[in-house]
Amino acid sequence: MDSRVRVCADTAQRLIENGAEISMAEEAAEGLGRALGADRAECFALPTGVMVSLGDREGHVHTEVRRIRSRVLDLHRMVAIRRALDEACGALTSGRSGESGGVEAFALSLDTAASLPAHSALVRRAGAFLAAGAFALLFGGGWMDGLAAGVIGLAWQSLKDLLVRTDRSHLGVGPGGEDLRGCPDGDTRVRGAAAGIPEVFHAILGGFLVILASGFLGRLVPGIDAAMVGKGGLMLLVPGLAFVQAVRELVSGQLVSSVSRFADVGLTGLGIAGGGAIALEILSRLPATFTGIPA
Amino acid sequence: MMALGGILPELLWCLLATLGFGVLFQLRGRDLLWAGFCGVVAWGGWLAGILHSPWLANFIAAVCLTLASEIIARLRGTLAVAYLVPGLIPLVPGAQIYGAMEAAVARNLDAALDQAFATGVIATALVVGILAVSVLVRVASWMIRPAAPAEKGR
Repeated sequence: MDSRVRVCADTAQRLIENGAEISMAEEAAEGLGRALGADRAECFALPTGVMVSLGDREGHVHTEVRRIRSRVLDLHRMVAIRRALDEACGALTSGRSGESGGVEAFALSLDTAASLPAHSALVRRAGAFLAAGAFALLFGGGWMDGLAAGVIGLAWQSLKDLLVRTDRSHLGVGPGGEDLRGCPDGDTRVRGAAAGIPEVFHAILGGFLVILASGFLGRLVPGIDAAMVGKGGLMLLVPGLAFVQAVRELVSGQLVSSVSRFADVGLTGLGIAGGGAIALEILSRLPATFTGIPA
Repeated sequence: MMALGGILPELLWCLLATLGFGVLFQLRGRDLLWAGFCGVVAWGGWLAGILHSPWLANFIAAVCLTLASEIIARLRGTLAVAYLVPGLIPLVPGAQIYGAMEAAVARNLDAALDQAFATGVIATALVVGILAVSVLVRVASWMIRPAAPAEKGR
């Protein structure tokens, strides 16, 4: 029973660490527990922790508690974990795999799914360039605005990667005490180790730098609309995932996690607005153009 | 009526923006392309509604996006959230946040409040749209899926 409760807790933990909703993690752990033959399976999860209990027919209850210190958004891993889980539950309930063999096989496929490599830094930066540039164009900017917003997006993503890497080399160890110095950038634990720098700080710094850079570009390069560039760049910072999760968890009746996600959305939004407002205040004290050519 | 020549570039920029975010959210392969498609569907809904009001536009966009995500997820045997999250980003009121900041710094409090209110309205429309479809999908799946033996006895 110990190995079964462990793999159930692992499943819920890995799902939340990769950005899954709380209800999905709870349903996954409970469904797997029942498929593994538990008489009673209960899971209580929050964005910061998981508790799983499995009970057998004799009335023995085994419980596993996990603290979740790092959360990233990796939709590829989330989908892979969910697929591995569905396959394992299907095999177990149809009797295609034995109970003990099923636990081992699923633990292995869970590890494989949860350690799928992330996109390289180059691909992530290309994604940021594309997203910020396309948003500037979507908001009505011209080609130059799109290009400038793309460059700012790329620069922000590079800085974010650098912050994570600096944080990692500073910490040296992950939240679980593991040595992270040799881990690749995309490793969940490595990205989670950047929790040393709070997310709201990323929002404030991002809002400040994006608006400041767009203001400077608008003053330096004739034909660039700083507002369009700033709006495109800011879209990289918006808390889209937390917003979606907050709403979906509200639907599932997960009030505690839903409220905490809404608080996350509000805090991040305030951080972006605060950082951006400081940059705009600085820019308002500078001349409208640095080149002498009217903007 | 907005000209087709004006709509197509918007849909293209929306597709590219969603694909960019899909990459940042680690999507790949066909999942990435479907996420891009959901972004385009959402923006199409937004364009259809913006002729009437921003609230309606965002509500229609959220409904279209959530429906498309749920349908594609069921057809592909995957998770709706994989398409919903990147597709929602174009609808998030980033431009309104910027407008509120700009007006506040210019000490134009009326305009700042207007923009902040617009941000709240858009966010509410998105919440209501996602909520409505999510609840409908949940109810539909209860009706389609037979109850488990333990549930039948309750």
